[in-house]
Amino acid sequence: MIPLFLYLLLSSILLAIGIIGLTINRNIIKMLLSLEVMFNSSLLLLLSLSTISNPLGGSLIAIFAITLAGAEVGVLVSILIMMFRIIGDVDVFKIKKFRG
Amino acid sequence: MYIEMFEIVTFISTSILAILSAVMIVKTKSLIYSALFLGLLGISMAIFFALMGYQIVSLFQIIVYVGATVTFIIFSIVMLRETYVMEVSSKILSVSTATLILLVFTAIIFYTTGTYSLIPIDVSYDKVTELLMGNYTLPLIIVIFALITTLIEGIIIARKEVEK
Repeated sequence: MIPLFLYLLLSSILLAIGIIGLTINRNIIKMLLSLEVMFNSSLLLLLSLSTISNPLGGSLIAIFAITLAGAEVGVLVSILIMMFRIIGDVDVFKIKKFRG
Repeated sequence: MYIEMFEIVTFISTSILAILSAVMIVKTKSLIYSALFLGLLGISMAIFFALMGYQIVSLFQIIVYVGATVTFIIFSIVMLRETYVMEVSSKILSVSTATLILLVFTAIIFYTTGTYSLIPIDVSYDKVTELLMGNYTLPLIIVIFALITTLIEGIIIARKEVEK
């Protein structure tokens, strides 16, 4: 039996690493990958907390979340590729040129 | 006794793997390696889910997340030519923010959960499918449409650009 707080602590550590990656990078793909780290940490938090309350509901929400994360990544990556084709870079500081 | 030892050893080794993968995702300069480490993080999460007793979610994580999402990211990165990975000059603010969030979360966790231990549960496959097809039909349809949009995006990205 593994204590619950270890799972929650691990989830917090992953969230902190994801926040660092999201804020220090200027490359939009690296930012997306850091967001995915944060998504994984929140999924771990959801399932570890739902174990003590409602395991069935938690697993259903997790299944929907994983599938929607796949769809969301598809949308973001296609926007990135369009951006790369138009301005030739994936730097967030140059995103102003992408407007309008 | 042996099962508990196996569980603890698996948890510790998978935790180290997950944290190292997350650090490498943030630190590596190559985008391809970052995406590969994301796959490794997804696999370690699947091991955690299986340890907690969510075998179906664990399988789903490996099939959909690692098998489809991470692969989609890797193939999309391959389509871009090598891009320069830049970082902001001042990292103190972001690191201090993340440390603060980690400390606050840790304090909340210690005060609320205490020494509660997780007993592995067993989520039945029949119940999950029954609920999905019975009570959650509309969300299931929405998810199917979302996945169809991803498929369309993949086709649009892959098609040859017509010169005007």
